[in-house]
Amino acid sequence: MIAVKSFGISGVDGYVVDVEVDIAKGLPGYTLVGLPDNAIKEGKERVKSAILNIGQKFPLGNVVINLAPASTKKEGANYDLPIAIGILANTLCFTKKLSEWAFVGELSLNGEIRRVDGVLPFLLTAVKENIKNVIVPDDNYDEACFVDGVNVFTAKNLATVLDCFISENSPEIILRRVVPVDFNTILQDAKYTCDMKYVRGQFVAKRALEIAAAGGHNILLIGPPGSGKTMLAKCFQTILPQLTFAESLETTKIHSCAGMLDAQHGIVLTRPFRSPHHTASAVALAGGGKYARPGEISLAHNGVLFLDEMPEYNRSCLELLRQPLEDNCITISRAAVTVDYPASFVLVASMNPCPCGYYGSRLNQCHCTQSSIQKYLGKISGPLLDRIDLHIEVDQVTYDDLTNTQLAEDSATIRQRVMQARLLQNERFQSCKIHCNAKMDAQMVKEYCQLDAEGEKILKTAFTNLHLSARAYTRILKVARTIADLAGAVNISAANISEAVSYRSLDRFNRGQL
Amino acid sequence: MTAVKIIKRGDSEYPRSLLALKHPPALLYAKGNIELLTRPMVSVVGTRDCTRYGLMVAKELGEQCASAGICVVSGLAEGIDAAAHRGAMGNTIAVLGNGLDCYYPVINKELQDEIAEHGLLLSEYPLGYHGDKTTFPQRNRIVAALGRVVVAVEADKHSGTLITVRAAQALAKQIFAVPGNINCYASQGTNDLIAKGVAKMLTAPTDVLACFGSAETVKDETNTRQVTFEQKNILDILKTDEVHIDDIIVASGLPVPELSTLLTNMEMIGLIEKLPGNCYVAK
Repeated sequence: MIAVKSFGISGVDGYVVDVEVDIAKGLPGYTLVGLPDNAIKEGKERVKSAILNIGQKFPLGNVVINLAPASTKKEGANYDLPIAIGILANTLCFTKKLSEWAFVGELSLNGEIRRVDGVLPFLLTAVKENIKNVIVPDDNYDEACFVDGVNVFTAKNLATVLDCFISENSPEIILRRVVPVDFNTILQDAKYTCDMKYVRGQFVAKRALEIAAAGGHNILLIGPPGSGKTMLAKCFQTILPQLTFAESLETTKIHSCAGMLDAQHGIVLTRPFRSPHHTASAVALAGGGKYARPGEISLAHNGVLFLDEMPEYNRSCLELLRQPLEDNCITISRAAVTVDYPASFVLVASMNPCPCGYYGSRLNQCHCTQSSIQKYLGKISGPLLDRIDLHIEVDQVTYDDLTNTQLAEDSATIRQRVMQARLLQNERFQSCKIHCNAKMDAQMVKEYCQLDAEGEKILKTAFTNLHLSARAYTRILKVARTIADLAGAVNISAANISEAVSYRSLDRFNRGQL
Repeated sequence: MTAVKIIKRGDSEYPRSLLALKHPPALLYAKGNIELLTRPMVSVVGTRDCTRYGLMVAKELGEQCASAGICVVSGLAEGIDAAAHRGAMGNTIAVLGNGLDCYYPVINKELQDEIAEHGLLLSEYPLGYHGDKTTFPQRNRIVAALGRVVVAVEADKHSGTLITVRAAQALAKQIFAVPGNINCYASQGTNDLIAKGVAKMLTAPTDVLACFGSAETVKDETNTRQVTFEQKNILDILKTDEVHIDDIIVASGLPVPELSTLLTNMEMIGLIEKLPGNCYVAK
């Protein structure tokens, strides 16, 4: 019996799978056990053809393959290569110790090794489990560049891999060795397609986005069609701080599992911007399926989840955002598995102020009745609204603004200020699990958002004179904390409170009453 | 909760102005301060599909009339009606097209309850009656008959407001219409009334007060209020019209954080008002 190491995926983390191949004497047979899915089962035929097509003999005997641990369901075609190696190791004399090696790869019928999903989590598992060498498909080279602590080799076909194991030469000569790349150098390549400097006008909205980026606050943009809500949201990712290596690995792991990795870099360099359509199902958003897959909110991990026209989404889809917004992860329970997917994102939502879209617009007249407006706004539940710190109204840009050739401040400059504010927050939350103001709990708000007498007075006046709802209270404090951080101030001033109050439009939508 | 009182034709409380109608209501259900029926009254009416300008005028008109002791009568519909009631709270009569214990439109439920408490609700329909498409135009004749003066604030060409105006015409009431932008759909009906000579043009709320002989103008407080230099600057920008915040930024040259702070503070002390869509207007 020969055991070959490979990997499986549970959630976004890998685990080691032992591929055991035994060839018993008796009538020829070929069996695969260990809860494989159809792709793995069909792999038997691919493996057989591949072995024959590289000029090797397929053993005559009863071939039994077991994928251990036997009780976990496995999926994907990445077991083709380890199975082939296991079968060949039974008949040929290998010069290297198989126990020091692990393999992943899908085979074509002529022995080529094809790209697979999840290579990054596999390699991270290899490091954790002290596996010395791993062979991955050559097409996955870029993704393998970022893991330190394991020798990674890539191969284009089965014949090369076999060659490596039957010759006396060191693997470097036969296989392609993956050279680790420095993350910070490749980070220079991070490119965004948009920039804040191309957004004309919208001064207030930009300021609000800067605050949202600095404190990690969720934000709601309210405005008529064509007011640039989507453009603003797209630019939002460009003012968020650069991804750190750890964040990038986390996000890459998720994208790797979902098979959505950008083939150019093999690692996620820019903060993800996910904008699922409003017809998206709950499973598409949260993740799930027969064998769980990460959903849109996990793909947005460490980035931005943009919900355009939020009231158009299915109510149940919106409500499921509540847990991840609170816990930064989502738990998916299915008959086969229960997995946790990380989902720490900034929610940027947009909506029209009323069904026709023009309520409050300078340029168009709204003809909606008050009741239809309220019904429209009511589509977003209070608890969800509670988790959105900033609401900002945007209006259509006038022709003069559009033709203004003067460019606005660019994203890089804004990002500088955002990073400064984040530094202060990192210092503040050193001992806590959180890293930005938006995630403060009630206790922390009490500790870090203390007001002086004047601040208290302003806040009280705001509540009584502007009819703010009670839920606005902690939101205003958190936002004021971020505004103070942006200014580099230690204490929250009365002016900070006033500014924070101005970003709570929806609390004050006293429709129809002037 | 105030009790509902039934006023029969011939009772001493029955408003005599209603007797001029072709079909005066035989019964009136009343809830609230019946004493209001003895005061001089002005009817303020307008369309539901109104503009901010209309809302502003209606509210202001309601406020000034009410504080001059003139009771403001309207129909408790959305838009202009509701704004007039709100402005005149405490000295206002709402005439409903449904029973007093029903709410239509539901959005005005709070307002209706408030008027029952601090004003007067009137209806010729029995309790529990939800009203239909004929009852609301019917109650318009009561609105028209109650006021000595009728003001149409905003109405498009087919607005129900014109029904009230025609009823007031039949009763030979003094009719005012608020002039508006000639391109605005919501002023087409009212401008038309002025053009045809049906209504006099309302140039200021004092025009209405003059009809009641109380020409005293309400003091303009803007000049007496203490404002800082920055606040004065903003008030100057908002002098003529509502202004979007982006335009205020350009005009004042202030950075966004400072301006947001300033505007919120001014709003809190009641110097300016924030409108939906991030526009500001001086109060």
